[in-house]
Amino acid sequence: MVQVKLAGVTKRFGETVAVKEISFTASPGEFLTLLGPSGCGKTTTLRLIAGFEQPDAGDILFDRRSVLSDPPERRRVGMVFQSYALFPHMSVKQNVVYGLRFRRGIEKRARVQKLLEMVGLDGLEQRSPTELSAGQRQRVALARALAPQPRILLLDEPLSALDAKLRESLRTQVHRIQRELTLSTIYVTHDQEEALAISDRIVIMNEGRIEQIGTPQEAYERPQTAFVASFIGRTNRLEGEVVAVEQGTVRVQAGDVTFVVSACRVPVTVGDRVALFIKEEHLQLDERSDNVLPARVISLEYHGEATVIHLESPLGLLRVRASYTEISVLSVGEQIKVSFPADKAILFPVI
Amino acid sequence: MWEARIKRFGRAALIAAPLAFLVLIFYYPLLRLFQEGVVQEGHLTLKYIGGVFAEPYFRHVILFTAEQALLSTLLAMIIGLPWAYIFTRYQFPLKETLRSLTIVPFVLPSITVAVGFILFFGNNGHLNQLLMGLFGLKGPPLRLLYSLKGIVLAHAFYNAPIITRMVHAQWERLNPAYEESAQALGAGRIRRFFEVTLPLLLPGLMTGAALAFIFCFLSFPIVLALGGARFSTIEVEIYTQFIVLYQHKLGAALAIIQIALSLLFTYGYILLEGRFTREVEVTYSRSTVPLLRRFTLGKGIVWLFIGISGLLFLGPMASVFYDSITREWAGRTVFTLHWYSYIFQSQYEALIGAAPLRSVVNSLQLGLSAMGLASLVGLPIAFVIARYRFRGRRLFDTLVMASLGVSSVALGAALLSAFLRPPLELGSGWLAIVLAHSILAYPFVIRAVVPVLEGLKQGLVEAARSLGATRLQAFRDIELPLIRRGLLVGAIFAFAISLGEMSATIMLAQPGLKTMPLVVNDLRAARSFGGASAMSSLLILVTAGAFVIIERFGERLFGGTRWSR
Repeated sequence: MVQVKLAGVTKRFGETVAVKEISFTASPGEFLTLLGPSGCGKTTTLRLIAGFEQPDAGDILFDRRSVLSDPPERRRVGMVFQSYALFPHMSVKQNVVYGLRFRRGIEKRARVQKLLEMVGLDGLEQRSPTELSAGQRQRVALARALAPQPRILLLDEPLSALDAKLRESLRTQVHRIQRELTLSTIYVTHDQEEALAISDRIVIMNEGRIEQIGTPQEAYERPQTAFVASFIGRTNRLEGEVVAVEQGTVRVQAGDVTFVVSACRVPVTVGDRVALFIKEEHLQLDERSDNVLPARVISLEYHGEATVIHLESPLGLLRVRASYTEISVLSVGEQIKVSFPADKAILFPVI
Repeated sequence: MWEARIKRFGRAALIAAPLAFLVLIFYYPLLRLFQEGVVQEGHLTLKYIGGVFAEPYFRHVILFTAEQALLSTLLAMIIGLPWAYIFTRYQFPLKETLRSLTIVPFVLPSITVAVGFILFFGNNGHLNQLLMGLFGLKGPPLRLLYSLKGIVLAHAFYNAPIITRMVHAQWERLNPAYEESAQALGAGRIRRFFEVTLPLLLPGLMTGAALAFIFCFLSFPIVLALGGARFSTIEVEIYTQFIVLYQHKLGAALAIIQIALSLLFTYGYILLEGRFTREVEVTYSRSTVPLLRRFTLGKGIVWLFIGISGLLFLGPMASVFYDSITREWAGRTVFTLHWYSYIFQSQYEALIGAAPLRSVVNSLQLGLSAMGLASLVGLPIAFVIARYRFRGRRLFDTLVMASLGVSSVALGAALLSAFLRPPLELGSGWLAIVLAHSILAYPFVIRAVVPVLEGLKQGLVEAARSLGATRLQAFRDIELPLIRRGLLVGAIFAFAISLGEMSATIMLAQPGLKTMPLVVNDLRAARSFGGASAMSSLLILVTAGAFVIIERFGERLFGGTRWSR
């Protein structure tokens, strides 16, 4: 187990800045996820930690010792690649045992046996990777990365090539193994649901910078930037102007409607243009809450466990996530009222 | 940070090492050749180059070289294009075999093609015999040898498979939706071909044509054997000036002119290529029509074409084998192994100037040496091409591929000037021949290895390194085993090229050093065709073995247009 610290790391590729002055610390045994849209620099960050790229500025430390002068093979990181990168000319067993060639003092046969059991692939030792299903390949890649007892495990979108069902079951397995080994893990994904489900903490990245670091709850419920507010969860965005700032609340005028909002991360003053972010599930299909808005039903989308209602309001299109019983009385074209509580809207100035 | 420095150093070494070696074995000799042609007693002079242009005979040779290359390319296209169509459109027995035979020109020694042409198309050749027998003629109806017609025909048949290969590779992958949408819009068969299909096939066609043109422009053994005394190209003339007349300065001047022309063609082709290349949707499932069932007039014409071109194509090869095992005896044709024992009997050493058996050993030894050296040069270059992006990459590509623009005879002349003249006289020419063959062969190693390297999945090397392997260990454990097939194909190619190579060899082999193609040529020149056929047959058998290995492992490697220029 090792503490991994990035301090002001910057990486450029030619003219483009892939990551810019990022700093974070992953504690020993922590499951840390780098989350962001594609091109946000999360994979580059992972490759910098693994040693496949050299930063242009900043430092990377394992247990307070800089590893910048260590080539990848001396950093003792286990890495699982998006494409798995299993060696096609080697059997499952040869793949898993490969990393043990370079580590002394580990009994090979027992180690391979133990790992394949752990990922549920015992019995497939002699298979070629080409004979395995995508899910099995992914688990071989995991076993291979873990075999030489790495100090830290790096996972680069390891589940993105799998179908939804398999993704969920493997995600649980990865999580379980990480807990069992209490192994420091850095996980890269663009799938927020995945990130929320398995992380101790999430580092949310955008355009090469860190937007927020926090637990899944913090990221979901208390976003600190407009980007995080819109990126995490399914969110409606409304725009308006601050008309009054009172003790703990802000009044926002949007069209003919005035909203009262209690959650505000950034200080605002009267006259500021602001954006309000309200999660789909926080819009209610009634007028019982603090802020009420008229709307017309455009369409209903049945999702199984919930139904999404598309609405047209004077402030633009809205999406509401509701249970089936709530909407059984709605019909397309109907004029209704929606409302949301003051503490469920999150407000950021529009820059 | 020293890790980054080591990485940079390793990379620089990988780029610099093959370049340095090429400077020594290719660019330095080329420089010596240029010196030979334009420097006299320490002063620059254009006397010899000017002399070439001033002499009507040389002007005629240059024009004839271009003329025969152009005609040969056109005829190769006329023969090659229908075959590309037949391969794409029809399904028939032996199609795969025939299709893989299109690689033959790359490996078949052209001196054996020349011998085959003499035996089949010659005045007393099998074709004339056949026609005389069929129609009861008194004299041979076809007089093709020692004329422009003979050279063009041999070149065309030798190069048509290249056109077929290039065009078919593209045609097969061309999405039929293009032609189908033209059809749906009301275009007839002819319009469809000329307005939709042909423009889309143009890149493959132009690449194939450019390649065929360069091959014909620089061809040596065929012109030497079929041109007789009257027809000579620049390539043959360089040989004559150097080896027959000992006019090194004039020969060097001709070589300089030839290199300049072939570089000009290559450059012109690259300029043109951009105009033809476009993004084309590809498919992997073009439906084919069985050629055997449901006879139509169209299919009849196809059969006729297959029959005639097949006869003309296989005739010369079959003649070589037939003549190697038959002999006229008391007015009858008898089957015999006489010619095979003949070429290995010591009493004919005087004819060849060396022991014939020794030539077989020489050829095999040269082939293996060239195979090793070409792989050693080609592998790091392929690695750089497939893996590195750096400033000066275009220059690197140009420097490592420039040897393709230098003809074999000119290369031989360059190595002769550098290594077999004072101050460096490297013995019998053995080493110089190995260098020449390696230079001719390493681009094929690159061509075989680069696509395999590029096809390797992302992250394999990085996975190995994160597991504790150094870069070198990752290469040894992961990349090398995975590119082994490509490397094998390239190496076998190099071996086959060395085995059949006659042009550079004839320039460099000092008296007493003979290879199999040289023996074939000597026997041909002495008009001992039985012996020439026997030695040719042996040569063809060995190269055919190489060809089988290449086709097994290197399927489709040489169909693309990637490295073809």
